[in-house]
Amino acid sequence: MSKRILVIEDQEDNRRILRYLLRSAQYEVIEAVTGEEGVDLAERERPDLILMDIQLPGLDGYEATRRIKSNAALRHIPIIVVTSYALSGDDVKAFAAGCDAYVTKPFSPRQLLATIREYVP
Amino acid sequence: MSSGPSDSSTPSSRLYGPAAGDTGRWRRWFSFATFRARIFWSVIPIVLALLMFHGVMDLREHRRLFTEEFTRRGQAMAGNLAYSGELGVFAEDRQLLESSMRGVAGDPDVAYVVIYGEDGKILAQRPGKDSALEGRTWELSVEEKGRLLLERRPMSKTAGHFVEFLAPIQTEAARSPDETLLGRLPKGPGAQPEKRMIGVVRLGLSLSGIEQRMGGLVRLWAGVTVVFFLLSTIAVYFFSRRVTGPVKRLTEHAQKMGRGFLEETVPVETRDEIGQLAGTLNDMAHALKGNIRDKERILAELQDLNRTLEDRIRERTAELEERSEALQRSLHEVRAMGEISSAVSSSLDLTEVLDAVSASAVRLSGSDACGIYEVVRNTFTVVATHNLSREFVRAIEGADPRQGALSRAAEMGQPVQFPDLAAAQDFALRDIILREGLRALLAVPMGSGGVLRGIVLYRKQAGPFDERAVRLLTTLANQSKVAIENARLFHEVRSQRVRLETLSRNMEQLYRLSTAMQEPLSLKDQLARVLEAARQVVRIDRFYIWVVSPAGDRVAALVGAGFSEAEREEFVGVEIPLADAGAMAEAYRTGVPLAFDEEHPVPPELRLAPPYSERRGLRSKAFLVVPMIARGRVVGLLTADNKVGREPVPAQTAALLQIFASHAAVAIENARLFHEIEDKGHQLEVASKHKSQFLANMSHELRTPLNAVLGYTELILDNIFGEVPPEIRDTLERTRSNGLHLLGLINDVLDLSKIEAGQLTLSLGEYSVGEVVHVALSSLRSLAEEKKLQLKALVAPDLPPGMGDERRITQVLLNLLGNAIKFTEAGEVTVEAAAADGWFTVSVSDTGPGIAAADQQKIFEEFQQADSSSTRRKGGTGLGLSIARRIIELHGGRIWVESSPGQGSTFRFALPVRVEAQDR
Repeated sequence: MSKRILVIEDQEDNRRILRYLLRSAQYEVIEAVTGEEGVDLAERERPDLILMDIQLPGLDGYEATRRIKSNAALRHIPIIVVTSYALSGDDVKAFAAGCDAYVTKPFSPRQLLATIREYVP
Repeated sequence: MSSGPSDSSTPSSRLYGPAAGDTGRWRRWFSFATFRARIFWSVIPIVLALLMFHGVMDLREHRRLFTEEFTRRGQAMAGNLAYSGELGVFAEDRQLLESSMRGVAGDPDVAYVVIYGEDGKILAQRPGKDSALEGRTWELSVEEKGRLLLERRPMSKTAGHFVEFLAPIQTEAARSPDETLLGRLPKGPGAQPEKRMIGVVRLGLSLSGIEQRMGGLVRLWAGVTVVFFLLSTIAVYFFSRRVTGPVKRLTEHAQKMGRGFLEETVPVETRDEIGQLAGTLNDMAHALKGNIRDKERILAELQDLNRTLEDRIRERTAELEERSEALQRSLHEVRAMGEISSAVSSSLDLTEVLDAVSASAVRLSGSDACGIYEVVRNTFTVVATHNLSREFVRAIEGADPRQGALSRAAEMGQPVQFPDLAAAQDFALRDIILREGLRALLAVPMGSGGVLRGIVLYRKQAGPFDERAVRLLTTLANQSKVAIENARLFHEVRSQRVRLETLSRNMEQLYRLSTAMQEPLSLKDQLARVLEAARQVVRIDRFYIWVVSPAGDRVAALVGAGFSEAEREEFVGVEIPLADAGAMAEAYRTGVPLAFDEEHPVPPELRLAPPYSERRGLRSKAFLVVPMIARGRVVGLLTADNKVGREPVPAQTAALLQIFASHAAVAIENARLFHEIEDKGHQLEVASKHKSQFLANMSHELRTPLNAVLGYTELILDNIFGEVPPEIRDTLERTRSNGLHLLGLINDVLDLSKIEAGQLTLSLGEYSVGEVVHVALSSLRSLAEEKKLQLKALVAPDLPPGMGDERRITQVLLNLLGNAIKFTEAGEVTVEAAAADGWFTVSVSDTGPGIAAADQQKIFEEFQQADSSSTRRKGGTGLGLSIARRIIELHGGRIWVESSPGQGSTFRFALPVRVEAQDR
């Protein structure tokens, strides 16, 4: 059974790119457009990994990460934060929220896959 | 035998043993005290013992011999007699026997002879003549007989005073007498005819012979002994005398020496110990003599000295007495002076001093009264008196000083005296003085600087004042001069001091004020303080501070002091347009203080316009307006007024007020500036916040579409949508690289903006320089290979771990390396890394075209490349180096370039191994 990755990203293009990339790497992709939707989907679908964007409408990526990580049932799911936020301290904030890895946009697809494979072989 | 002196005072006599006088003499002999006695008692007994021993032995021997001889003789005689009497006994012929006996009886020792026959019958007897024989029985005892029979030989025994010899008379038996008479037959050996005892001979020999003889010997011996004893004694005596004689002489001599007779010497007679002692004694005597001579000499000298000393002492004493008298005299004088001095210096109060002086003068000179006068502008002023009545003083003060003795003395320049005023002729003040009961006068001037002063001594008795008194008074006068001068100076000093104190108080206030200014109080409070301080110092009732509006068109009342509540209320918020401000406007305009008082009232044109003039607080007629100037600008006005317009405000006060005014001006100006700064600060904050927000937004907005572009392109290139044909691939790759370039630009711009906005924060962590170099090299290796450039790395081994922002440092290195590769056409690019003294040094060297010195500074600035035309060719924004510089500087490090055209370039940066906090 192929591994499932939840992508929480509000930008259409970015979602598409991730979708294509992950599918080509034989992952199943679940998509959420907002932070809240992402948290719900995480609960319902129990993915194997979550790719979280920070800049999301409503609930932002940090908060969503925090919520997921504080959920005992979901805590084990690795969260890779993907963001184009350039301001320093973002990574610190991300890790403080509980993410497991942090990738800046633009990312090298190959690198992203490599990082994903670390958590979801 | 002489003995030594017996007085026990000299120690030597003690050696002579105890007792004094003759009575002890015999005792001495029997004790061991004296030498002689000792010798005697050592020698004589020995001698005696020897003699006695000898004698006794001798006597015994003699006695033995005598006895032996005696016995032998006796025995022999008895035997002979026994033999010779044989016949007689045999024949019992008395006459025969007697004739035999006769021979024996001739011996002197023989005391008696008795011949017994066989049966013990006495056949013949020759009794001794000895009385001792009286009553003696001559019978032969049975034992005697028995024994003789047994032994058949003579025996002896003692009987009292005699020794008896009993001899058996024996015969050869069985012969007839005739046979016997006819002769004897020769007997052959072994033929032993038996003998038969036929009688006994008793022969008594008297021991008296022996005894006599012994007695004689004993006497002889005794005599010898005594003689020897005496001889020995004498010998000992003489001998010891020979010893003790010299010793005694020596002793006597020594005693004489002890008593001081050192002249005689002891004759040294022998070479033995005594002689040596004598010699030694002589030497000692000599030495002592010498000693004593020396001592006597010294004594004589001492006595001489003593005499001289005494003489000297006498002289000196006389001198001293003279001196002492002189001293006493001086002492008197000095004491007098001392009193005067102490009177003069006892106080700085002139009156006191002069009173004391006059009192001392009277006392020391033995006068009755004294007066110290001053002549000022032809009037007498009595400065001090002693024992002068008030009437006198008044009279004097009314008199004409030119007539006085003092004037005369001053004219003559020396003391003047009137021994008897009654006799004085042209002395106007005579009567006044006489009325006082004083008849003699001595005046001494002590003029000092234009003022005639002097002391006058008075006496009730007429008579001249002696030399001493004049001298005393002159001294007094001089001293007083000094005292007066001192008093004057003191007074001056005191007034100066008061002035200084006031000044210092003012200074203090000002100082306190300026420190108060530095405290963070509100402007109003500060100004209130200024005013309070001013009020304390300047003694002005009321102050007000007006502030000129920024537009310069009105003055507003800000703070006041010295107003009542009611008056103050009238001021609050009052704003007077300058046009109506009157004097205040003028002061503002000219920047010069204005003062008005009774003598200089406010001219009409400078009066406050109504309705302000009605205000109670502004109605005063005497006031000051002081402009407060800061930085060349009048920022306000300080008004000070006296409520009642009493006195004009002194110039000094105006000056002080100006100082306060300037302080206040500074305070106002500071307050204004502070506000401005605060405002600007706010604005900056807001602007900064905007900027950050903008950056964040920009960052996101710019990158989002670019990410999409790059993402899609990557996807295609990764063959996600299928194999990409080469031409399309090529195009897409160019697209991608352009996109990446654009991304780089955006990143750079954002970085720089962040740095500009101070937003760039280093995320500090541990890193390894080697690792950073490695990453940079691997990232750009392909690029270098494309251009066929050699990439070299010279990383020092065992570099310490660093602390810094790894990402940013890598960024810097990537930038430098990228530049090197970009701008070098051929050759190599070398990366070096080393550490020393807590600093890392990393350099990137290339064999490129090099950079001219002029450009070396420029290239680190934004948007600059050495040659702008090459920018387009080489690519790059020209931002990299400036960003790199900022990053390195944030680490507290330094970046620079070493290069010259045609020689390649080396870019170096150095940063601390451990950066704990970024360098703002």
